[in-house]
This record gives sequence, structure tokens and C-alpha cells, in this order.
Amino acid sequence: MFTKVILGRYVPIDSVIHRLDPRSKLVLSLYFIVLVFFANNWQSYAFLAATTLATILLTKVQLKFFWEGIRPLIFIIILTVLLQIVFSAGGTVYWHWGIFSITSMGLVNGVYVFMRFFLIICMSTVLTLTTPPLLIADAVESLMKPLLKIKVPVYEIALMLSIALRFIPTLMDETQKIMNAQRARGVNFSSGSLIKRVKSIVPILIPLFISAFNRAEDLATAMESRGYRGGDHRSKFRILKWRGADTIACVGLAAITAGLFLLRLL
Amino acid sequence: MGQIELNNVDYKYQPDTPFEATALQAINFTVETGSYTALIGHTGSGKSTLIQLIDGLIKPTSGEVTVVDHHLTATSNSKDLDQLRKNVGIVFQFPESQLFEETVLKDIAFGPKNFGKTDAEATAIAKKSMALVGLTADFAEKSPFDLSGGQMRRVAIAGVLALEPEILILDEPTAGLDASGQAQIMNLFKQLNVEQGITIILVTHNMEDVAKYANQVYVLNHGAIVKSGTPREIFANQQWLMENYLTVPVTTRVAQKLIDKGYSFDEFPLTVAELSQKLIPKLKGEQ
Repeated sequence: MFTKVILGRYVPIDSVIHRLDPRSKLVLSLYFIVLVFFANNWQSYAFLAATTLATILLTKVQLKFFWEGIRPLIFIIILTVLLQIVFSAGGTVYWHWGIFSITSMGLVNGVYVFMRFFLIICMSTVLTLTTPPLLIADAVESLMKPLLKIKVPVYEIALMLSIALRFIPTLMDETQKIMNAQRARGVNFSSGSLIKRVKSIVPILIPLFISAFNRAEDLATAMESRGYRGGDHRSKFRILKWRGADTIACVGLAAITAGLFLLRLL
Repeated sequence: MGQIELNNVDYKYQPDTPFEATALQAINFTVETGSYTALIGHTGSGKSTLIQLIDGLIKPTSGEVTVVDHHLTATSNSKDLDQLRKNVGIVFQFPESQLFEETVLKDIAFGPKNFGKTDAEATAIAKKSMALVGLTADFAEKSPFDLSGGQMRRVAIAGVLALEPEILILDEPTAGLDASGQAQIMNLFKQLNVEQGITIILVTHNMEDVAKYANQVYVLNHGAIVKSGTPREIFANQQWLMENYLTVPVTTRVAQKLIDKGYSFDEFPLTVAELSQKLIPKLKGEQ
């Protein structure tokens, strides 16, 4: 059931991008998303597409993975693009019916919206495919540190995040196991009326909640017995290291920003 | 033609994705009606995938699965799978994690109701199943979550037995139970096998259980069946088992040591009872 979901999966291979500091990857990919909204003509979109493609090639991950990342969202993309095309006014009118019209401006906007979606999904997929979830959690913790000054419980949030990420695969396995057990007892998840199908979720949800709470209790006891007393005054085992490559990546993105703003002037 | 037949079955997880993994390869597997079959093999050898195929929880990537009179191939639709499940009951590993109803009785009656029994019929079957697994009537109205681990296990097993399956698949049914609980549950299954003719497939790491209860053994390794035969045939070659990361029952190990010391048995002993039966006359003869 969950086997098709590729979003948020990590592919463990070795590449320049894989070795980057997760903090720089997180910040740069967020920055790139903002940057995409500054593109406003063909040249700038082509330029950003070229940089995205270059990044994807640098990850050495098969292109197939990125396609798997986009596929579940394709319906939303197509819908948005269609709305954009049908409802935008301006330029030459090619077709007109009531409030709907297809114009040259509408088509251009449609392509732009498509490009935005495409670039943003690709770049965020680069982040998740090349960074183990635990490192992303570490990066979030590190970037949130300044918030300690305004009394945000950063360490606790980071711990919660790590535990949550760690248990996603476990809970998915558990769900699959419980589903199989109930299917073997005659529950049918894929047929019958809507109400019947919603009801058939109960035999999964209740055992799943119970096992999650039991697991939480056991984990808490195990953590305490190993000397955990709270977030502060603890050392870190996974230390994030800023390397030359990270600086180069930042400089590279600064250059891309400069290039983009030059192209905007055209 | 057996009751369960797998013909050249392959199974791949997530086929045609980057995460494709072959779990089973060219499996040929036959189980006769009323037999007690053990499936052994080290972790990750494909045992769990195989039992899911038999219950129609997954479809083979290629080849054909036949259970009673249902035939499953890669192109079968899910209606066929539902039909197949009526004949088969599975006790999964740690089955107590499937309990969810408010009372023990309701939970046990859940399965029969899904397969079309009326409330009254299902309750009657549930009461019968409770008695079978050794739960007294005062458990009926308790919440399954107030019970001990061993009692929860019994409730879960009763829930599967209430389906009145012709074929019962057990995936390490006694894992984590105390010694007396293990013996009780295993004896119950043997009794069902002998008295009601229920076909049993047992997945286990416990070689003593294999020696004691099974009459047919399949050994899996890396998704393929590498050996099949009676327990006596399988355990006779200890060297081969060790090489395949499996162990032998303690009794057979003792017997092997005795053979090394010069004793000889006309038939290789499997259980404690067999071994002692064969040793007593020998010891008496030596006196």
C-alpha cells in the first residue's frame, strides 16, 4: 500500500551532493524555492531548469526516482495548469466561451506555473533523496538553536522529530502487519460502500494506537534507564561539519541568483 | 494433486520500481490434505512471503498458486483472493496485536461475522473457540486489553480458529510464551490436526517442534526451497543443516554423539520419547 510512496525516501549512494552538510542542503533548497518565484521570463525559467538538471545529475541518483517523486502530484499540477490557462486573460484570444477563454497570456502563465511546480518538486526531492531523515532532523535542530534565546525548547523538539522520523517505517510495517491479520479474518478494505470502508479502518486504527502508546511507554522507560534526563547538558554524537564543498555550494547559488536577476532585466 | 499447490511461483516486492526485490524464486510446493507441514529457514529466507501467498494476501508475480479449488495467478482479481481466504486461517507472529474489540467474545466473533455468519451463529462459534484454547466463560465479557500477554495470545488464536479454516497457517505461534504455554498451544494444534483433519503449516525456528509434530518439512534459503522431506530425512544430515544456518533438535544432537561413540540405531531418533525407547533395551542388554 505504501510501497509506491517515494517522497521522503533516502537513496544511499555516494555523490558530491550526498556529502554536503545537511544544513546547507536544507537552507539552499528552501532558498531555491523562493528563488523560483523570482523567475519571470522564458530565459530565467530555462536557466533555473538547467541548474536543477545539473544538480540532479550531480546527485548520481537515477532520473526514474525523480519521476516517481513527481507522479503522485501530477493531478494537482495538471489541474492548476489548466485553471491557469482557462482563467487568465490578456494577449491574443484563441478561444472564448462564457467566462472561459484561452489566451496567449494564459498559455504562457500555464507553462510558468508548470515550471514552478516541476522545479520545486525536483529540488525538494533532491534534498530528501540525498539526506537521511535523521540528518535532516539534526539540521533543523542546529538551525533552530538561535530560538533558544526566546525560550523555544529546541532540544525537545529535535528529539521529538528524531523519534518521529525513526518510527515512521516501524509504524508502516506495523500497519501492514495488522492489515494483513485483519484481511486474513475477512475484513475487506477495497470493496463495499463508503461507510463500510470507513468502518473497516477501526480494526486497524485501534491496534495501531495501542501499539504506538505501548511502544512510547517502553521507549521512555528504556531512555530513562540509560540516563536520559532531558534535553540540556547532553553531548552530540552526530556532529555536523561545514566543509569547503558547502561554501562552494553557497557561492554557486549566489552566482545563480545573480544570473537570474540579470536575466530578469532582459 | 495436493490441497495446496504452488507451481513455479516467483514473487517480487515492488516490481518495476527502483526498490525491486526478489523474495521467492521458482517455488514448487505441495501440501496434502490433513498433513502437518513445517517451513524452516533462517530469517529473510522467504517464509513469511510464502504464507502470505497461500492466504491470497499477495498475488504471485508469476506462476500459479492453487488452494483447495481456487487458482491464483498474477492476473487474478481481488474477488478471487477474498474467496480463497475463507479456507485459510493464519495465526501471525504476535497475533495479540490484532485485537481491537471491546470484549473478548466480540473480538473472536469478528472473523466469522465478516465471512457471513449471523450474530447468533458467530457468538456460538466464538464460545466454542474460547473453550478450545482453554479460556473459561468468565473471560467472554472482559476487555482483551485487560488480559495478560499469554491470555491475549489465546484470544487471538481463538479468533482465527473461529473462522473454522480447513487450512491453518501458524507463524511462530508460541514466540514469547512461557514453556507450559508453548506446550499447551502446540498440543492444541496437533489435536486439531489429528482429530479434525485440519491441514497445518507451521513456520518456526524451534527444531524440537518440527521433530515432534510435523510430518513434512520444507527448508527455504534465499527465497528458494533447498530441501524437502520428512523430519527424519531432514535432520539425518546435521552437517548440511549447519551449513544452511539451521540447528537440529537436542535429541538428534545427543543421538549423533552416541553414534560417534559407537552406538547404532536402526532408525534415527527424533524425539525424547523415541530416543529413550531405543536406549532402554540397549542399556539393559549391556548389563
